[in-house]
Amino acid sequence: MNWRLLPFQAASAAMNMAIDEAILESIAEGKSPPTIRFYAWRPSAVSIGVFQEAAKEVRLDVCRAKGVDVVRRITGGGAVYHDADGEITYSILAPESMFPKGITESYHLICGWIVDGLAKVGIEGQFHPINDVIAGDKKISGNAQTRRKKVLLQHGTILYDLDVDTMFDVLDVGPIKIKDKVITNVKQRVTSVRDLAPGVSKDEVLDAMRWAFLAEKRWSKAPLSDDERIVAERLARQKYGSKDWLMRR
Amino acid sequence: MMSRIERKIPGGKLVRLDVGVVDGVVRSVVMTGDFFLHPEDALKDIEDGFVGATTASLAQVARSLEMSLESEGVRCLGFSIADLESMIGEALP
Repeated sequence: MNWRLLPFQAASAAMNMAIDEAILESIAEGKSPPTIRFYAWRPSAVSIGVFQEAAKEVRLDVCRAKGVDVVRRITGGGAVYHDADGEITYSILAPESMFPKGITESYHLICGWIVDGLAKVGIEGQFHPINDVIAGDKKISGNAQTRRKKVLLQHGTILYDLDVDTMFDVLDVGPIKIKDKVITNVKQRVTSVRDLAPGVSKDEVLDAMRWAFLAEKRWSKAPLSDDERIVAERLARQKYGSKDWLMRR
Repeated sequence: MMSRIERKIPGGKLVRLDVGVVDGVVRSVVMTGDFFLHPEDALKDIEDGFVGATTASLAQVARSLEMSLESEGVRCLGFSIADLESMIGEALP
């Protein structure tokens, strides 16, 4: 089957999540091909997992003051700070029949492409169940998957540069008095491309990821269809940009 | 009485349960956290599945729920029904 690679795009948090769901719906209806997209978040954003309690995970007042978007994903997993310049995000959407039936096995497969991409820029990574890629013993990529209407969606991030201070301004890590301890702990557990391969540019990482994700696939570059764009704009406005969706738990 | 029980499951994810108990019977369960559940809609079945449980019936309720979820092909990642059983047990007298 021919894969579609979407052009790299930076968008708001609501629009980024809406694009994923619009593509998922379109693939479910047999109208769109399996799709890979790499994208950025502009402005910077926090995304939370579908089962998380927004007010417990995010300092919503700080996000508002800093102009940081906040959005609830349709996938599980934890709260993530998406720095506009500090990470590469991907989504892969395809009929689930194209992937192993087991959730862990399909994480392993897709995270394997991230491992291949990292190797291309000189970083040795490995899949770390349930849903991470680690380099050394530190996390460099977090991933989340859902399957709906027989379509698999997996999205995730590859950390290029880590802004721990902003991360913990916008994420609620508990009482201020333990914040320093948590930051130290995160610095010990999380790493980035810039930490491990300081000379490698973000564009080089993006090229490496494109190469790894598309290896041995037939593919062509194409934009969203008009229908996908219309559905995405509606979902961004009515669902992902709404307070009801964000605060539903 | 409402109890909030929070647990980082060893080798798994963070689970928070808000459990409402009246006269020794579970009346409500709200589950939040960074876990995964496939399909996600099964969350309500899990939350509702524990309603009505007492200390005496909790283990049986959990086993029934486990079997029901298994027969529907529901997959939990980062927690198990046994973990929830143990957490809800803390909220019961």
